[in-house]
Amino acid sequence: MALALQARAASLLASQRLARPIAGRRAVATKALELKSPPYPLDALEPHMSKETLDFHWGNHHRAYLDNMNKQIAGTPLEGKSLEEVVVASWNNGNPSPVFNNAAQVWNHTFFWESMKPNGGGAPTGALADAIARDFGSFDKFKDEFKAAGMTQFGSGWAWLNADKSGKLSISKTPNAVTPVVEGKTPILTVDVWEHAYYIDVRNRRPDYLTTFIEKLVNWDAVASRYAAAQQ
Amino acid sequence: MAPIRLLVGCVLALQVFTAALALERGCPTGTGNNTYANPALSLPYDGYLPAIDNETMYLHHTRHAGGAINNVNAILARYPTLRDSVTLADLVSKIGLKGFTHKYKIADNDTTALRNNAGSMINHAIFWRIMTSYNTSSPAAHLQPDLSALINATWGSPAGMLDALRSSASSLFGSGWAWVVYRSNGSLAIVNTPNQDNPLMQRFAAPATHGTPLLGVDVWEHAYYLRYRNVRASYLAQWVYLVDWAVVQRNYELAKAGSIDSLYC
Repeated sequence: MALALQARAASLLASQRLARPIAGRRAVATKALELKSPPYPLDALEPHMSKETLDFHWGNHHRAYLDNMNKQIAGTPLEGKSLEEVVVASWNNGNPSPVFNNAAQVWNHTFFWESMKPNGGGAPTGALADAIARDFGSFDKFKDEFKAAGMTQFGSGWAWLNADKSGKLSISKTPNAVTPVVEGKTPILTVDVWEHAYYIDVRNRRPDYLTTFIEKLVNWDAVASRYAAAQQ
Repeated sequence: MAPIRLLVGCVLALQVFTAALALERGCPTGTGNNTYANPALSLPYDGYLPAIDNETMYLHHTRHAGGAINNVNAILARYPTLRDSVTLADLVSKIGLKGFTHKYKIADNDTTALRNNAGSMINHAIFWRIMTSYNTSSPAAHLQPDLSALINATWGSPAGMLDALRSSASSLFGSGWAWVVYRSNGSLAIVNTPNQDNPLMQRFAAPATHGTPLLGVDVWEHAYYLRYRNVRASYLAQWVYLVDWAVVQRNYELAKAGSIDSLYC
């Protein structure tokens, strides 16, 4: 599902909401936000993305962002908020607090796992396919442009496919932990281009990683659902 | 006329020597297509163990740094005057400044590309030079009294300096470098720069990070991922044993003289 900042949009990470203390009684200890697993076993993306990559990328990097975020917000007004609320609040209108890097990376990585599936790739169909043809000229041109965004994000970051409320698509790239969510956009697909995302599998060959991602891993069903949700 | 022959002989010998030195340092040779080369490391790829593994050194040197050098050459081929009249250190220092851009008519996208690739070139050149075999160099053996006193006054000790460097390097989010820099007022400081920026960059480095690098450590993930995975702190804890204190001292003396030794001319 697409994340939207508009009120009442279904949260992508609803399972990570905290138990809230009940007013007027002794406060219930609030649970920290929890790490959501990818929607497939860690070896399910092989041979395109190794189990070892998932073990470290989800098990160490993603987990560390979550643990660090929880430590940072414990005992602060952000404790007890949803992940999306923490991301937006810590972005602080472009003057991010130290919490932002961790919170946004928690969000980004969950969005990334859910952008992939075993036996993924292929091509989108239906309204999404039509929009891609309309907005990029062809599916091939979209793929080239998406990969170019991933290639040209210098240093660490992400490449994104976004949709606006009218269904118009755009590709963007962000550095480090920045996410289009705080730029007022609705992402529907992402690829992580931090070196840790691909170094175990293809060393420095980011172009090969991006090609494999697009051709073999993208969960077009998930992207299509997010696309539909973005227009509601 | 023997004296003249001798003089000509000396001049020729000097030119040959300088050219050989230039080649060894990877500098443009002033001949042929006048491109930068990727100088060899002072140690074999496995010479940095146990701190850095040989595959990392190989990939880092040939693909990451080597790739940046190829990119710089490709860009500078379109700016022959810039290529032939400006040293790498000067280029890195001035890239992005209005006057520099105007003088050499550098397109905006080339400014960005030079920032990233020439930055990478000089960063890695400093990095290779500052490293030696694990646990073989000590501050006591190589630091002169002036630098030693300055380090002690600033951080208590060389170990204190390295602790502060590691802290800065650990706190850097994303890709980048941490440095000990010499500031124009004669002080030392620890700073970090994102991506392939360098403290010499007048236009792109944050003012608080400006200075001449004396030593730097790469914290792009490619610098440590194969051996340390996500545990950057473990890499840094080992990396400090590679510091070549003789080079730190030499870099300090060059910095005081307003110069920088980056391996490139």
